[in-house]
Amino acid sequence: MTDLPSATPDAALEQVDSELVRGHRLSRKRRLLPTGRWGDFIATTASLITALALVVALWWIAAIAFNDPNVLPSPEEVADRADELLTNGGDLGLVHNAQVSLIRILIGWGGGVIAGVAVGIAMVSNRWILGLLDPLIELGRPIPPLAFAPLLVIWFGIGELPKYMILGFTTFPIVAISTVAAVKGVDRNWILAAQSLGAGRLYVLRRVTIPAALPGILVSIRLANGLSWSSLVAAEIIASTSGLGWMILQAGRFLDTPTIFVGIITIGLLAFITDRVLRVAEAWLVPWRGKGAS
Amino acid sequence: MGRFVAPTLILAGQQLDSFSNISMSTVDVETGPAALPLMQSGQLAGVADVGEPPIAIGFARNIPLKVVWSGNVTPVTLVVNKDIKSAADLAGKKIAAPGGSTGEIFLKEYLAENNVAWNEIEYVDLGGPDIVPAYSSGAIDGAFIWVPQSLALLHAGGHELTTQPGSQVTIFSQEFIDQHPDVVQAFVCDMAQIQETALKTPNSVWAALAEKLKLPESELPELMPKDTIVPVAQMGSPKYLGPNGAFAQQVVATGEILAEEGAIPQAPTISEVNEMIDLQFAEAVTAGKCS
Amino acid sequence: MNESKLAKAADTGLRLQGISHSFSDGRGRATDVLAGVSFEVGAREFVSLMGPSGCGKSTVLGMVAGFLSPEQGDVRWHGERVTAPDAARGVVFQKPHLYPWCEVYDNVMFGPRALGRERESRDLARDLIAEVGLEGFERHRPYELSGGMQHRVALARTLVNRPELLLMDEPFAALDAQTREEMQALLLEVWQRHRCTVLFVTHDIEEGLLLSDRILVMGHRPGSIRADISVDFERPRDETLVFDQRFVDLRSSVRTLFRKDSS
Repeated sequence: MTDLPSATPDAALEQVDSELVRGHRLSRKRRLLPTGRWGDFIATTASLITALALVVALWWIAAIAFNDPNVLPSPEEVADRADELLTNGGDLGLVHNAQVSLIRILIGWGGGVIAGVAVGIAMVSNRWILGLLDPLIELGRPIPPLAFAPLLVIWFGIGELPKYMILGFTTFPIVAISTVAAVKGVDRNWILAAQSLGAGRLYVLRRVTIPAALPGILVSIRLANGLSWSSLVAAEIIASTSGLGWMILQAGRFLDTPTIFVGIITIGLLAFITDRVLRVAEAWLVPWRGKGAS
Repeated sequence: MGRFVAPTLILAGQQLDSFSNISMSTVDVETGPAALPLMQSGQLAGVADVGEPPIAIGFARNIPLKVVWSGNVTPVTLVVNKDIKSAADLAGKKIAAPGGSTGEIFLKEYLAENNVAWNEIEYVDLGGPDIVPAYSSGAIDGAFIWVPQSLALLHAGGHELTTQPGSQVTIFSQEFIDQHPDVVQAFVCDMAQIQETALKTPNSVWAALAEKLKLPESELPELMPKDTIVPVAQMGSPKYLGPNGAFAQQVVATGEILAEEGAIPQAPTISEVNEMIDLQFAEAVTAGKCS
Repeated sequence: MNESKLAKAADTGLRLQGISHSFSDGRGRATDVLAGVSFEVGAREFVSLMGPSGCGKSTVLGMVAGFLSPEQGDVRWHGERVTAPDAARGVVFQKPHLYPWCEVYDNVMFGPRALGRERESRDLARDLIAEVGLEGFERHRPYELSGGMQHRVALARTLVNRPELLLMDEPFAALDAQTREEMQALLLEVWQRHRCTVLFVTHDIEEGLLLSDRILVMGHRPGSIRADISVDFERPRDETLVFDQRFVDLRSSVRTLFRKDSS
C-alpha cells in the first residue's frame, strides 16, 4: 500500500509518477549494493563522474573535429573563459550573474510555489473555485511563459517584477495541479479514521490532509524548480542587464561562444544543486515517503 | 543561395522584393550582431543595414566578411522625457538601447563625452520593438535608438538630446563573395537602383515611412533629414566608406569600447577595417555595369 | 410501536431498522447491496457481523460509524439518528491507517488532541501503549513497526477516546495466522478490561465465535440478516475454546448456514 496520490491522466502527474517509479527502481538497485549510505554515495558519484567524463571526452573530440571556437570551443577554452569570468568578468562576471539569477529563481519559483499550493488547496476546498480555475490553469499551462513577456513589460515595467512573474508562471500551474491531485489522492481512510477519532474539518485539513498530501506537493515543488531554471533565459531576455540568461544572450551577440557554454553549464549546475538541496529537504520533511506505511 | 537579412527595413528591405531580379529570401533580425552566428554557420550570405558593431565583432571573431555597400546614414537619437534637460540629468535614469547595438555604443560614447559614468545611469537592454511600449508606459526615461522607434518616441512626447549618424552598411561573407560574385553584384545593382529612385523622388520613401509609423507624413519630425541616402558616386569618399573614412573610424571606436568591456578580445585597427571594405561592386555600378 | 418499547429500544444503544442500500457502478447501473437489514446491539455486548465477502457487512459498519448514510431505513445510536462520525463510536479498520508523519505516541494522542482532551488523556495513552505491548516504542514511526505492531497502535489509538461503541472492520483479516491469534487474545483481554460495546465484522467463523456474545449472519447480496445466534461460552475465553465440542458443533452449523447461502 502506498500513501501517494493515485495516477490521473494529467501530464504533470505522469511526471510525478515517473519520478516515483524512478525512485522505486533506485531503491531496488540500492539493495544490490554492499554498504548502505556510503555505498550509495560512492555508486552515485562514480556513475556521475563516468557520465561527465564521457560527455567531456566526446565534446573534446567534437571540438577538435570542428576546429572553430566560434562554433564549438573546447572544454579547455571554456574552462579558461570560466576562470576569467570568475575573477574579472566585468558585466559578464559569473559570480554576480549567478547570484542575480539565483535570487530571481528563489523569488519567482518561491512565489509560484506559494501561490500554487494556496490556490491548489482553495481549489480542493471549494468546488466553485475548482470549476473556475481548473480549466483556466489547464488552458494556460501549455503557453510558454515567454509569450507573456511583452505584456509583462507593459504591465509591470522593466524591473525585477516581470522576471519573477515569468518564473512564477512557469512554476505555479504544476504546483497548483499537483496540489489538487495530491489532496484528492489522500487515502480516504485516513480522513475517516480522523473523523471517527473526533477531528473536525479544520483539524482534518491541518493534521491529516496537508501532511498526507505533502509528499506529492513536494515532488511538484522540486519539478517546478527544474522548470524555473529552464525558463531562466526567457525571464532574462526582457530588459535585463544581469543574470545568467542575460549573460548567455549577451555572449551570443558578441559571438562569445565559450561564455555561452559557461552560462549553460552554470545554469545546469545550479539547477542540479538546488534539486539536491530540495531532495535533502524532502527527506527531512517527509521521511515516510515511499515507506509503504498506511 | 544564402539568405539575406535586413534589420531595420527602412529603405532597402521593404522595397527589395519588388526591385530584385534575383531570387533570394529574407529574414528579419533585430540587430546586426544577432545575424553574425547565422553568417558563421553559413545560413546567411550577408546582412543589409547593419551598423558598426557587427564589423568589429566579426573582425574579433575571425569571421571573414566584407563591407560591400552603404545604403544610408541613419540618425540614431537619444530621445528622453521632459525631466531630462541635459546629459547630467541622465544620472539615475532608466535609459534603453538594444544590447550590443549602435545605440548602446553611442550611449556609452555620449556618456563618456559628458563625464557621466556608465554605472550612474540605469541601462536597460531592450529590443527595438519593446522600447516604444516601455517608454509609453513610463518604464524607461529614454532610449538611444534609430528610426522608426526614435520617431515614435518623439511622437510620444520625448525630445531629442543628441543624434549621431549611424551607418547602414551591407556585409557579405567572404566565402559567398568568392563563390557568387555575380549574385552580390546583382544585389548591389538593385540597391543602387533603389537609392537612385529614392534620391530622385524622396517623397515616396517618406510616404512609406509614414505608413509604417502610422503617422501623417507632415508629422514626421525634422529629425529625419532627407539627405541621409548615400549617393553611389560618393560611397568611396571619406564621408562614407572611403579608407580611413567616417565609417572606418566609427568601427574602430566601437571595437575599442567592446574590447574594453571584455565583450570581444581585441579591436581592429583602422587599416584592418580598411581591408574589410570591398568597394569593387559599388565601383562597378558607377562604371555602368548594371544594365 | 408504543412509547415504552421505543424507549427500551433507545436504551439498547445501537439499533438498525430496515436498512437498504445500493451502489452505482459509475455507468448508471445500480447494484443492491443491502435489503432490509435490521438488528440491535445491547450495551457492553460483543456482536460479530458475519457473512461471505461481498454481503455488505462492511457497508453496514460504515453506516454505523457515520461514514455513509443508508438510502432507506435508519441507524440510531441511543435513539439518535447517526449522520456523521463521532468519537463515541470508535473505528478500527482492516488496515491500521496510522499517520506516518506522527510517532506512535502522537498517533495514539490524535483523538484526545482533536477533542481538546490532551492533558487528561496522557496517562491513559501511556497505559494503553503498554497494554498493547508497545512500551518503549512511543517515539517510533509507524513504518518502523511490523504489521502486527501497527494494528496494536491502531487499537490503542481508538480505545484512548474511551468509545462507548467499538466498530471493527475485519481488523485482523490481513494478518498472518500467528499474529491474528495474538491480536484476538489481546482484544479479548483489552475488552475484558474496558467493556465497551463491540460490533465486529469478520468473514472468519472461528474468529466470530471465539470473540462474540452473539453473531449475526448475513446472506449474500443483497445482504440481510439470515440468522441471529447467541454464543454463550463462558468468559474469559482463550484459543483452547476451539477444541470444545460445543464450539465445534456451533462452527459446523454456522458453516452450513454460510454454504447454503452461497449456493
